[in-house]
Amino acid sequence: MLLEAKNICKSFHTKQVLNGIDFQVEEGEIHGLVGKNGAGKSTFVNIITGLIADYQGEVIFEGRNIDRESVLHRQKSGLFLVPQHSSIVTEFSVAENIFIGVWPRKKNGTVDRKKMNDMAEEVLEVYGLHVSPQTKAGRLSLVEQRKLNIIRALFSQAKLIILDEPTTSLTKEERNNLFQFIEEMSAKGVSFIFISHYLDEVLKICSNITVFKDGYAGSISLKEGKTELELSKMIIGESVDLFCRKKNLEQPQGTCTIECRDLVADCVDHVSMKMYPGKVVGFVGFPESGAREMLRVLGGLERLQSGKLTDGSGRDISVKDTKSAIRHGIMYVPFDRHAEGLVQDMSILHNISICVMKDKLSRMGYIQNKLELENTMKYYNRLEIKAQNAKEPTRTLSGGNQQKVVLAKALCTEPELLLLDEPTIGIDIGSREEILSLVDELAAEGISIVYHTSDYSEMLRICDEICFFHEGRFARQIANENLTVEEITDIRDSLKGATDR
Amino acid sequence: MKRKNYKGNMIELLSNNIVWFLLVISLIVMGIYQPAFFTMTIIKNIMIQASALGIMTVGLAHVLLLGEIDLSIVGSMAFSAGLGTYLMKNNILPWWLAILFILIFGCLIGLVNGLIITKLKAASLIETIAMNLILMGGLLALTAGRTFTNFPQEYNYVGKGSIAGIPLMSILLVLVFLCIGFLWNKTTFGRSLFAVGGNISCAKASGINVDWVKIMAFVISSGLCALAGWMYSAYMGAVPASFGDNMQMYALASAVIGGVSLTGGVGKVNGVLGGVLLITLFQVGLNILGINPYLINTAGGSMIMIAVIIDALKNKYKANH
Repeated sequence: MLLEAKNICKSFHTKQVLNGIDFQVEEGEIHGLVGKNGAGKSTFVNIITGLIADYQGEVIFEGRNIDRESVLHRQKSGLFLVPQHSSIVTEFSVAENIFIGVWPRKKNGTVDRKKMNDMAEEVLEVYGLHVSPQTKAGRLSLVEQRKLNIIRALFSQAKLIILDEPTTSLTKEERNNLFQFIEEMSAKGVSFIFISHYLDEVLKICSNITVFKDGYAGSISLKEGKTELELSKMIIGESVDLFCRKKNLEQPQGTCTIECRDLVADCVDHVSMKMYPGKVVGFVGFPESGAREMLRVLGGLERLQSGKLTDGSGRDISVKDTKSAIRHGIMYVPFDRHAEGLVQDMSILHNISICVMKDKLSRMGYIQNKLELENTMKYYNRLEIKAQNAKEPTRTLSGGNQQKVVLAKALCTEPELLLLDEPTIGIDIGSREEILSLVDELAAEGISIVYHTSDYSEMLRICDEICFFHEGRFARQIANENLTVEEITDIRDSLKGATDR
Repeated sequence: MKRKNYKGNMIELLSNNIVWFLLVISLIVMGIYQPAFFTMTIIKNIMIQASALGIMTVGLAHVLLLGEIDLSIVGSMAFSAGLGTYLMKNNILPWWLAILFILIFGCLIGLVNGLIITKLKAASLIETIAMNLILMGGLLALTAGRTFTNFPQEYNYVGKGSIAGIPLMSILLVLVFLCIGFLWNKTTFGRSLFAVGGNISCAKASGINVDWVKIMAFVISSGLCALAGWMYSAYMGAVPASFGDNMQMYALASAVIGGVSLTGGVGKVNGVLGGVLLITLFQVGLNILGINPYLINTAGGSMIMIAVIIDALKNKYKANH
């Protein structure tokens, strides 16, 4: 047994996150870790790698209890995490990245470049990554960067490598390439813990799977031959009803909410499109393809270089910054609520009113308490935010409730066009379904909604139409009629394939 | 369970108002060593000493709330007062215009700071150090190393007069704190200040004019320093070349002990007031207790250090619970 975790418990504040997890990984095994956001996966991984030090239970690595060992110590004994976002130094060469921190030195203490490059070449050869060690790491493709990350771990004599969502934003081909690499490594005796949202991947590559649900975990052996459906039932639990929206597939009639003509911005290349009231449109595309960038440009967060925006009656709308966007009824809900969504030290109410306090809730800069309370409580109640009281800082709330505060803040501006960027990321499944049904309600009220997420099954449940973006261009639009997740990824990949060739 | 809650609430209350508890404890300790401490004269003395420092500190707090820093507060205070009194003494401006000039000039210094820091994206740390050097150098050149004295009585009135036995300086201090309290808690500007300091990206995404808030914070900081400059010069009846020595560090220490976070977004007006009173108490108290003058800086520094450590421990405790 390479790694064994016994009865791991962990709570944050009063919330029990892990309830006695038992977990085992054998040598050379690829072990899948699945579960919804908030199920406890990342907490568990942080405990194994040592990032979280105060937990109950035991972690045993190679028959040795490592509870008291630091992250660095655990790394030295061969336990590595390859994070979701590649952690290479893009300005360094491939060789420098491999040897980071342990660069070979000459006698006088300077880095011995020749030796480093030679050794790196050997390492790259052994592990089958065919690039020159002198290339700048930033110039590698995404999949090569991921591999470099893994190689770096292997070079430091890793015995167990934890891969956190290694396949996001990879095409199918690149993904298969990565899997082959992982399988070769595991044949050589390296173990992997493979975390992924994509169940087909997990079923394909892993020999055992541990399912996390509400802080509990159950392991299953794949020799039993589970199907994707059975697995997803285990993850979600059968008690939760998945919200399903009645699609609005009619041809849009009447005036549009907003019309874009020839929009040009960073990563947005001459995009023209129309948004209609009551429609939920999904944007699909790889990072920097223009899908997310379109949302940010419309919301006033990124500068529009040229192009025209007009409203339904043909009047020009000038979006210079978020303030002008909000005044014109366009509201962007950011994908990262910690970075852009909330001021964590401020109260829930103050966070909700922040966008409108100046225009709607104050006179000569003096905030009218009563008016503010009326406006904010309306949305506080509508979104059923669960908190001890509305004056508590948002820091103490769970992810789902925090996201609801962000949405309440957006709705407080009474938008006509609502731009939702990953509105369900990192929140529990109950809140997610509530948010999805809220989106449906809002669309029924005549708000025009743009939905961007990389969870395509969720997108298929909520969107009326899907728009594909590639290299800044608006490539294709299809109605969401009997579409499957595979079809969406196929179209997305084919757009990329078409230009790569 | 109930008992535990009660204990938790007590700790909460204590940690939220720690500066006031420290103040009371220090007062009692000093009173035990020197009973003369509780006479009206000394309490009045503390109140007067606290007023200039207090007004500077609450101004500085605006900048700290944004997560920025202003190291030019002494320069703003000293040079505004120096230039104003220079013009007054040379009969260029009457006393009341000189006062107005001091206040406006202070605001202008803040405006320049704010514009350079927001529009040119300069680092406030180094920009305000440079500004301070310019201003202090300017004062040295203006005074040629001498001290300006003999101001008209009307100019000095604010520092020496009193209403119903209460010094005018202290009344001004209370008024300024009331205004700032209103500004922080009841206005959109105050809300924006905390939003920008708490999370600047979020403030931007929420349609707050971040640059404007920052510029205003620097204007208020320097403007209030100029007000303190007028009050302090009137109190002393003089502007020496070394006007406002040590005030920068005392103001910073008062703000931090008063609970203003140096990373921005957190702070309360009454905390700042408590911090100012505590620091002033140390200053005055050490003199009265008869500490060896050569050791007074060390003793003062140690007391501030203790207060900072207690404050840091409080934050650590809060982060864990």
